[in-house]
Amino acid sequence: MITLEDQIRRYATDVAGPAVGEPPADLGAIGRPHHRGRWVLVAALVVFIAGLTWVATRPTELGDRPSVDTVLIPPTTEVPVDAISRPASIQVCEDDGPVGVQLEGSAGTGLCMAAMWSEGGTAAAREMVLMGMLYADGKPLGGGSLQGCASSPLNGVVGAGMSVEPDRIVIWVQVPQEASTGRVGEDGPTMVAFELPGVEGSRFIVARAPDQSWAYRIRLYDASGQPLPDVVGSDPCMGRPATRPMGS
Amino acid sequence: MDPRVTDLFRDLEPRLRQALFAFAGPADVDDAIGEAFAVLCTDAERILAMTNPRGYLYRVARDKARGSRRLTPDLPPVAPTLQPDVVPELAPALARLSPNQRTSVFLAAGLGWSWVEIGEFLDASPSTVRNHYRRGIEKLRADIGEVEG
Repeated sequence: MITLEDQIRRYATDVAGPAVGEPPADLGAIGRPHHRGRWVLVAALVVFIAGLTWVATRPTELGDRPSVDTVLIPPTTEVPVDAISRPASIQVCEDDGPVGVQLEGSAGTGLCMAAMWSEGGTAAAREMVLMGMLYADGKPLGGGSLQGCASSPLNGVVGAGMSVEPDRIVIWVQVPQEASTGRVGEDGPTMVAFELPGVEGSRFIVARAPDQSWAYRIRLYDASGQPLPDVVGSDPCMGRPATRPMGS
Repeated sequence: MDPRVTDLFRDLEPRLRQALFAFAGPADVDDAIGEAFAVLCTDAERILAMTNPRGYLYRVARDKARGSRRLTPDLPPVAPTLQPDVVPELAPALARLSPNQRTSVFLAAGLGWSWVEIGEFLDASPSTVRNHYRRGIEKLRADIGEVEG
């Protein structure tokens, strides 16, 4: 079978040749249906959502903040772990972006949690990683790995991480002011907020402080929907896992 | 003329020609390359001192080509000698891609450029170039697929 890549090579060298070298080593694996990869994605998303549900529903000890215990209640909306069905609140990210689920915003705008192949020199070295990607008008502004503190940012954006802690889950995406492909706010992305799927009453917000430092805030609600005091912190990840929020 | 200018242009011109072909088709390539060379000659010191003079000159040439660019580039049809292995629909399908997707696909799969080399011209990281490539090749695959040989 003549592959599409072979067709392109024959055509290109015929009209604009000669070729300067061999195609990149990983070229053949790009853009092909990754059936196994998609199941890895589905499995990763299932594990992630199941993990969030487990953390949200287990009993916790919060020391001098017992009122926060009441927030971590079983979600009123069951989050199915079936890989095929998805909660109604989760929309698959539109094409022109990675395969994933839209955590906030409409398709093409907002925060998307996606799975992508990491960078690597060979197919064997690559791995599927969960990414938090921020979009505006269908264009990626940037994002980073959600698996621990980002050490391989996309598009020059640094700072993203996920920390599952005894009494809270912290997920954040750090976006610089000078996004390369677009901006959300008047002065660049300043606020990203999303609700963790399957975890009722928790909302994570990333905000940029007026002094240009980065801060994060977690807003919690009790069982009756009343807001509890926000939990805030700063410098969420500077080469180490996100620390416990330091209180308001 | 400064020998660095001639060395740079001698090394760059074939690559420029291929990259501009992918971007705009053959019709505007010569004018665009001429414009890049003229800019290099008149501002050689500044351009030679740049971190990425090749990328800068590509963008000068591209902008010249963009000014006269048709809505979609007029790529040559697939030659009869290449058919049926290469489907005639390949050329119009390539033309329908976005400029960055077409450039990435044409240069990487077609002419063996590396992601780094393409990124140098597009002023993009290798991972961004790979994303352009992935989206372009997926669109092409949806359009024309592969031929049973």
